[in-house]
Amino acid sequence: MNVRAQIAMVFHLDKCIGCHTCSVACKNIWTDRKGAEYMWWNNVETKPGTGYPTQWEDQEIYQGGWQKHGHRLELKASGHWKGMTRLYHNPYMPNINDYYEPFSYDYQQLINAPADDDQPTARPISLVTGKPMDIKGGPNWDDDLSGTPDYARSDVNLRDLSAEMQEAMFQLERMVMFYLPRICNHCLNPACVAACPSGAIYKRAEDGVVLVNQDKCRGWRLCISACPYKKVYYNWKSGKSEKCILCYPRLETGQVPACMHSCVGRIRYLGVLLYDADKIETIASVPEEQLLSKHRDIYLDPFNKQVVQYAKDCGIPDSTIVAAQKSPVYKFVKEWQIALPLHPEFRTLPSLFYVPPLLPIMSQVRDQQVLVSSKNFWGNIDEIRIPIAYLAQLFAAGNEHEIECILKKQLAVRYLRRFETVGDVSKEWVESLLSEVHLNFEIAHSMYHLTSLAPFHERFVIPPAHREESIEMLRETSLHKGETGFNTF
Amino acid sequence: METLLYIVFPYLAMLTCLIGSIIRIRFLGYTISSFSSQFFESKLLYWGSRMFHTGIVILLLGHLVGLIIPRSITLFTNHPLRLVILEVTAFAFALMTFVGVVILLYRRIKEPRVRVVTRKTDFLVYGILLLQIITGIWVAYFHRWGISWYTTVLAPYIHSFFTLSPDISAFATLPVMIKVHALSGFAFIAIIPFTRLIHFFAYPYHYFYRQYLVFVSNINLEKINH
Ligand code: HEM
Ligand code: SF4
Ligand code: SF4
Repeated sequence: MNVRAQIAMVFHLDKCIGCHTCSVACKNIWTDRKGAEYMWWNNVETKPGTGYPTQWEDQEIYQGGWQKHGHRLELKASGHWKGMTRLYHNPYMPNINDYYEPFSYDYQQLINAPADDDQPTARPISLVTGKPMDIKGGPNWDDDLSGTPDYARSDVNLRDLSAEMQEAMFQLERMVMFYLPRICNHCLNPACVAACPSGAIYKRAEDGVVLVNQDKCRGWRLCISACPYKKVYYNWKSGKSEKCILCYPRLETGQVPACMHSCVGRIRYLGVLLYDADKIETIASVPEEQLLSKHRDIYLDPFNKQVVQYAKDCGIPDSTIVAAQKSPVYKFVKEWQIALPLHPEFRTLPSLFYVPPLLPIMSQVRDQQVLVSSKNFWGNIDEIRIPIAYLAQLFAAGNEHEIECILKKQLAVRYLRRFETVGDVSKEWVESLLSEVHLNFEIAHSMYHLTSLAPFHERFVIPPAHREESIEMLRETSLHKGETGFNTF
Repeated sequence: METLLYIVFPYLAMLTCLIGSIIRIRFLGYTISSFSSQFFESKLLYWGSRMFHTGIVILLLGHLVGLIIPRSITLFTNHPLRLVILEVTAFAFALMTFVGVVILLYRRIKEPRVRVVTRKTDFLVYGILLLQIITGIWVAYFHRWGISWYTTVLAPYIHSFFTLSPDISAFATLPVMIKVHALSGFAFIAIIPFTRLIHFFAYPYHYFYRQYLVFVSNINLEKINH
């Protein structure tokens, strides 16, 4: 057993309000530079929709991720041989039209325009060419546009849904949507790392953050098509690839990544998971039906004495083990099993998990009457507005049972709170709902607590980074004293 | 004058390339990139880049093989049929390279966004490449059977640099176009460390035998608990 620590995340989709604060927080810190304007390391998509870059989930277009090749796992469109034939021209790389041409506005015109009968306007200016341009797209161009033919209806996840189901989703009265915030998943089996011929992309062994070494990247751009989530971006100015760094300079100083810190809906959780690095390849290659359960299996129980001993033997600091025991992510992913990775079928074993949205129905109109009875106050999950089949395409490689269980758990917790706060449902009934999904009052309460009430330090449990150790490895500590760590030659 | 052009200049060019490339690769890693412009334009690049690169890589390898094992090549091409086949193939690749470079240049000038990411040194690269390819095609066409005189006349000339006893007697008698081709070849070598051409020294050959996943540890895991 080769125990390693991974900083993992949970996004609770029922809580996301689609405000894009996360995206802006990230942009202001990291991608407000020439060549990086179009990069949104954090972006928020409307689902159903086509996402950013357009249709990124469609691997028939972009050929990202891994695929089974007999018993072996191979990158879909790159890898030792295939990739090397695609250096001169990468047929699967998205180009600027799949993102958008970044722009600003000619604000000076508002001030400097001579007096005239018409109001002056600020024309959009391309941040690439510096010339006036017509805006044809943006990073959230289909924001809130459920039901539109160009966007929502071109969502690839609808492909396996029946025509009636799709039609039902887009009737005006039943129109449905939710938000999907995305960052790099800092995968356990990262396709970007595997595809990089220069060896510039690497995973940090101590916390699992995936980074691009800017000095070693040579702009071969195979990572960009290999990442099935399209979370590596090509900086057209520097000729290097860039991606989300999980705010590692913040993590190392005990601060929460900017997107998570600023999250208005408080949908985000971050903590450590211990995993067995020897199992990565085996688990990434299991048959599709088993992917979710095996993926959960790779994470180890940090309370198990044997695991703790193994972890220590593998050199994991005690402080990290303690952080793993307090990890909110462990609760969501392993204990309660209500958080799932996005598109597990890409086989990269993401470290970012989503609690699928319940989108409760508050009331229903039938025969011109509003029906509100306490027992079906939120309806039941058969009547859920967003088809379970659709959620299953997103989070469970088509496994609807998995989604059903999670939604039932969430619903049971809500009825528990209904029982406690309003009292119009019976205790026995709530108990039956809970036991149907193997929950009890105690677990349900902690689910409720972590979902709704948990303060900052419970939502984010960051292990100390022990940077002092790495400094010690590199140089005399006495030399380091009194500097900020910058080279001074 | 001849000494300057045929001896000093090649020596300077090769030294510049050697020292410059070492410095750039060792200390200025951040500045090395393919500087891909595929992000802005993909269709023309498909033809341009593939044709150009396939052609140029084969031609360069051909030149290199001729330099390294000239005698074997001379022996191999003793048979006229083999010589003809080699010559015709090389000529086809030269034309392919030429068409490729023309497409790439056209693309650079025509596409406004690609023009934005064009550096001044790129035009130097294109200038020398065009000169090199055109003189190359000229030589191949007007001074046929280059493969045999390359291995017998040019290879010894270049070898003589490495034995530090430059011998230009045979080279000086060659037709002017061949001299231009050779000298612009040295110019090409000289500009490698200062332009985007450095990218082919970064060819990621170690990828072929590397494990897919790369883990890097920043902390000495062993030391922390003990
Ligand atoms: C040996 C392997 C080589 C590899 C893997 C390689 C790879 C590349 C790549 C990825 C690009 C960027 C294309 C893009 O815009 O996306 C490029 C461009 C270029 N390469 Fe190479 N190259 C190689 C050899 C060479 C050689 C031998 C030469 C010249 C003698 C050369 C000259 C150029 C030039 C001039 C460009 C710019 C093309 C343009 O965009 O206009 N390359 N190369
Ligand atoms: S999401 Fe993409 S970029 Fe991030 S680690 Fe996974 S494969 Fe790499
Ligand atoms: S800041 Fe939080 S609530 Fe707002 S869009 Fe981002 S993830 Fe959703």
